[in-house]
Amino acid sequence: MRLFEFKADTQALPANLAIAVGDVLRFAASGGRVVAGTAVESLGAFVRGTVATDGSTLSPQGPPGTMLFRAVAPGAAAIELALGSPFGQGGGTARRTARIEVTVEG
Amino acid sequence: MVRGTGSTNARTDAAAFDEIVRHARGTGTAKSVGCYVRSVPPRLSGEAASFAARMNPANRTPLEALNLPPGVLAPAALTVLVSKYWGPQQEEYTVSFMERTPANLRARIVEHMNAWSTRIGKSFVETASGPGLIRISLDQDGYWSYLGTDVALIPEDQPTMSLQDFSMSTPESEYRRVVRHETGHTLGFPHEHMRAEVVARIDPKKAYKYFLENQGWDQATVDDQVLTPLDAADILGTPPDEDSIMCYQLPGEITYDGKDIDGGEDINATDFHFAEKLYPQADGTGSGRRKGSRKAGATKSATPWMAEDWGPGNDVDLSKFGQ
Repeated sequence: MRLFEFKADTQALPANLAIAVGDVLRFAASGGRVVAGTAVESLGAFVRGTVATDGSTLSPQGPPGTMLFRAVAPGAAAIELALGSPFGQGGGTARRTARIEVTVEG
Repeated sequence: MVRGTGSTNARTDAAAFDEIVRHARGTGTAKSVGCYVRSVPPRLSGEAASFAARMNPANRTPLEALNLPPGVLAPAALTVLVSKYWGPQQEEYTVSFMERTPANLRARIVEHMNAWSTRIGKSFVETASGPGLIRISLDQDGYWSYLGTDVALIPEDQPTMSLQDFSMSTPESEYRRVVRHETGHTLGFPHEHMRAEVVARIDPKKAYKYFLENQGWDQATVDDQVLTPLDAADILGTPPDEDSIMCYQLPGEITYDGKDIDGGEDINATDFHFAEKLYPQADGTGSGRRKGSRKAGATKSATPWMAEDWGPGNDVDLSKFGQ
């Protein structure tokens, strides 16, 4: 099983991706979902968490910044990522989407 | 509950307190303050608040939790989370950047952080060396900041604020909207759209549908992000302000009345009004860059109107009261 990490820049995101069952995809994105197929499942949108110097756990104020997906079965799937700000126009960070076709090899 | 402390300490506390009140009010002298109410040490503040509320429900107010000197604060718009409040003392907070960042970009960001400082007794200055109390990353995911005094608890090798991909080509309007918003979090201000009155405008069914379709968020994420109001006992500040810099823009597609929640594009008059009540300037000169400085690893400075801690062995057993 492998962990693949992708930055938020849409230019860096591949249109197609071939991975194996058990692999996990980590995207710097405010949201996302599986829009076709069942080979991949969404693990959800995550907000950053930090263990503070006093041992407590803290999270910053802000929307989720990480989307996780896991390849669960051989086959095909398509995922759509939500990039930029989920709230409002956001200027240069206006919400946009990116679609990735995923092939999961057995 | 508050026991007296040694006379030397008491005199020191009183003198320091007089100085702060004189600065906070901008007028008057130390002699104008005849007496004041001292609060319990921090380790007992929660117990004290619970006890006070148990004895009289009318005491369930967030005001006491701030440990403010008398006369400093009057309610206004914009919210502060009482448990994250830095205190009214004049302070300059150090700022550093996690990545190699051009000097003009660093200066521009710090300048926008200091938009707050034109009216309050807190300011921000870039460190000459070493990590600052506030550590900014331009390479993280999205825009965020830790809230108020939580900033001081973040390990020094981690950022406390994220301004993803900000550059000199980022529009000035984004500096005003985003940098000032995130700096508001650093000062202890949570999101205004989490106020109960604003959340009440949102139709949960519409919100679940909208954010599922647009963000892929499940209901728990929507609950966390837009549908869970702040506990009234944890906040101070009335009434809610949908034009506050701390309020996100939310579309009319998710409100009962179909009208947008506009959100703030810049610090507005009510934001400033409340912020300067919480963090008053010492002399009203329009610059918060004065006494005190806090760097990474520094602990919250002592509040002179707070009693010296007499030690757990001398605590009063409160269990026999109000049962």
